[in-house]
Amino acid sequence: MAVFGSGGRGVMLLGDLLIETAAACGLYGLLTRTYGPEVRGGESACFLRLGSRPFEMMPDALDLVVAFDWSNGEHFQQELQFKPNGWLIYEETVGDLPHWIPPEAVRCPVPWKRLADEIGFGARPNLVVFGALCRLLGLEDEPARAVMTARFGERDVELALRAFEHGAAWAQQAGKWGRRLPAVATDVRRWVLTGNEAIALGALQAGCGFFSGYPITPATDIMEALSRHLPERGGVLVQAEDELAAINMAIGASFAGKRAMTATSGPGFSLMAEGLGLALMAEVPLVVVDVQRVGPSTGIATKTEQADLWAAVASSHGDNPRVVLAPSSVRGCAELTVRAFDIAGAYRVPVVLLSDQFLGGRVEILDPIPLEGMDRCEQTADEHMEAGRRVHPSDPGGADAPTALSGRPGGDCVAESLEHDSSGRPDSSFRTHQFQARRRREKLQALAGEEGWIECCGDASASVALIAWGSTGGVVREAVRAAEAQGTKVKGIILHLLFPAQPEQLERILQGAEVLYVAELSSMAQFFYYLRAFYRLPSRVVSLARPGGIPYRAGELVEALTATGAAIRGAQHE
Amino acid sequence: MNKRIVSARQAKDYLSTLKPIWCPGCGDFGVLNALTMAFARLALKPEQYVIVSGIGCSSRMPGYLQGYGFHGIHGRALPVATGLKLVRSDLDVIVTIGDGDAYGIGGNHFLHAARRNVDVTCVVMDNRIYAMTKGQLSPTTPLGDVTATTQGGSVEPPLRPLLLALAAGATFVARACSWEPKRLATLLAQGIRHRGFAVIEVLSPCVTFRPEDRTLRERVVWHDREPTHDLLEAMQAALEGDGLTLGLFYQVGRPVFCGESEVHREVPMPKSPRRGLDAVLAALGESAAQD
Ligand SMILES: Cc1ncc(C[n+]2csc(CCOP(=O)(O)OP(=O)(O)O)c2C)c(N)n1
Ligand code: SF4
Repeated sequence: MAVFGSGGRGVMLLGDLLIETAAACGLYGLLTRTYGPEVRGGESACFLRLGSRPFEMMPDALDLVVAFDWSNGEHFQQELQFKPNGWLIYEETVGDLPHWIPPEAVRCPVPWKRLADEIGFGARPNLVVFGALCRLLGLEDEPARAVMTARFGERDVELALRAFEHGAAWAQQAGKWGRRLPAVATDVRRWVLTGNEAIALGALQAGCGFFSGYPITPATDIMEALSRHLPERGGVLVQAEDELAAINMAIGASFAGKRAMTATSGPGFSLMAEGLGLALMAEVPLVVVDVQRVGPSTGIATKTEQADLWAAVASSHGDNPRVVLAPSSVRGCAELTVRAFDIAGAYRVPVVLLSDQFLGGRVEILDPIPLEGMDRCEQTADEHMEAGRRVHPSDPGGADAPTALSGRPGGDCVAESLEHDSSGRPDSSFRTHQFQARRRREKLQALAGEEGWIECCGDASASVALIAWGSTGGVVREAVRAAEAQGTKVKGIILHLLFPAQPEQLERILQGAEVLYVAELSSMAQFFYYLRAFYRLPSRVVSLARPGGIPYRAGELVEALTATGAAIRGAQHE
Repeated sequence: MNKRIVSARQAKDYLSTLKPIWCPGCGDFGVLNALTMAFARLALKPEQYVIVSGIGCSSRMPGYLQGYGFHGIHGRALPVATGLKLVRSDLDVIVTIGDGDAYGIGGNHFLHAARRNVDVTCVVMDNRIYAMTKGQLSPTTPLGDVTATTQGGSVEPPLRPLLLALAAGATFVARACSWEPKRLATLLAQGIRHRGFAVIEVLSPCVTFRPEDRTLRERVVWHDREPTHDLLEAMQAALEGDGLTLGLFYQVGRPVFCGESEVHREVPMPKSPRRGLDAVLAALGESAAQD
């Protein structure tokens, strides 16, 4: 279903209340939010999918659309695809329906305003609507009340409950329409989390002790979540003056021995390029989150895209063999954040965690994730250092050589951005540069050899394979399932470790595949060319690349896998 | 027990074995010496301090001193030092950078480190030129001077760094020179002991690209008054003598930047309803408590 209306109508609150209530009723669900061109104010819509299994994508068409008004509704026109017998529930006094509402939609005008006025709620009918929707969808009252109490507090909940009950009573009496969702009995307390909250959770679980960031949509809520929870765990959080400062502060804190992280989106990530190179050269562990938005430049702050891939792998001058991880689900956001800290510490490298707006901003109902305990560890200490000897983190002692830690007696060490020898002294000789450049590259080989980073779904023996990364990976999982239901066998592949590349592992997985479809939200087909550069692929590889803004729907991918669709779309990059 | 008499560390004991790449006669030698003298005077152990720098001739400093250092990238020394200090407040963090690093490429960080009153000592070796890159215009190059990139003479008025530091909120503001290392050492020791953002602007001539600055010796005067708490008075004093007056102009106490953790202890957290991440963390906390 979708709910939309202009700013101030409480669309987002209604979405939150519905998904929280659904979670309390034992359902799974997915909530996404879409905004008009402004980050604040203007019109907004939320999309909600509820059911008895987890979801990673909105359905291709909607069962139910709830509209508070029609102002600028055309912004969402593309996303409002009705099912043939889909319902449109709307405020009855808003006048004529816009021309783009499909004629087959079942129209249900409702007196929201009058109902809200009756109990003095005038301008904000959202809680009345909430009551009505709960009744119509078959969501129970008890969980809904608990959700409202948690949201509004004991004191203010009375008023909210009045509105809720008024709406519910009306729906009861109107009673002619609605869909009952399957009630699921469960005593599991499921989690209701966004991808960004999951990253914050992963950071806390991994023992992150320092965060510095600069506000930017759609990454800011990572910093906001940590600002509530990091200090109470003894960590430090700073809002830096810009992203140059943010990444360098994190590097300083990491050099001092704390697990450190920063998070940003495209424009900020560009500013961090220089700092990534510094962390690499000085071999200071660091986790950098990029929640991608539409680019280039300021682009579209509130919409998703996957076009920071090349920047994540290669931004910053010089040879930069860093680690790039890409979660493809909310669960993955938490798990890979923990991994990111472990890898950064073990290999003394910067790790880029590439998320995107679709992952970061969506709310999922998910089963609890088993994560290892909090307060894992500080960084590798330099206790092994021999007193008086100048020891540098780039000692060729392999991945587990000590990280530079300031302030241990006997230590004597300068983290160095110039090319340097194993003792940390600046050295511009060819021999040293050759040795160090190679060592920096080769120290990631152990990681590249690890199994388990490439996820497969669908039919392993299928001759058609579909590959993606990031949030599009979730759509691939849904698309493979949908294709199977239509009798088409597809091997779905999702990469989670983008750098270092794993050509041998992928080759093994691709065995038997005659054609490989590559799905990604990037007009320049960054993933497609990345695959061609680093992997051995089947002779026929077809790009389904398109710009971001709206994520793929599963149906879009299934359709593309049929020969005609693919021939048209893939013509540019094949 | 084998008792050994450990003699106090001398200034020279703070030098590393790395030989400076500076030109003979470079002002930065004086600053290096003064730093070792200040460390000896404060009897610092090498593991008690960290030297953080950017890129430039002056920023080579960390390599020439015993102990821990961070030779980072151009302009970003202050953020590195801020992050470091926030998690290791027990260490003395000393930033050693050039005028390009401090007021040009890193100018924004200078403002915000001063505003926050980060507890670091910021030693700016001002040679009024970009020396490492061979003599281009700096934000402190005097108006009309010929440099590699202003062949017809600079048309840009120079910055007044101490006014900037004062306006931005620095709590210890001094000017010194590299050719009087003993007096510089005194100011450095005071600056290191000061709690808060200490700016010590050091006239440190580049003999190669601004040989004319040797004559600065004849033009400087020491300001021997006590430092004031009054911002306007300090600004006035810093402007005297064509900006070539030396001494400690300003020192005040103000809470230092400590990130959020200490503030957090005093301000009660708003009772956030248990939703989303809050609910998850609460649930994890409960299950951990059961284990
Ligand atoms: C981002 C970046 N831009 C430019 C440079 C080149 N660069 C190196 S040092 C320097 C200026 C040095 O001047 P200053 O900071 O005053 O130090 P000095 O060498 O005079 O001591 C410049 C422009 C660089 N290293 N990095
Ligand atoms: S170029 Fe100038 S600043 Fe650099 S070392 Fe030589 S004299 Fe010193």
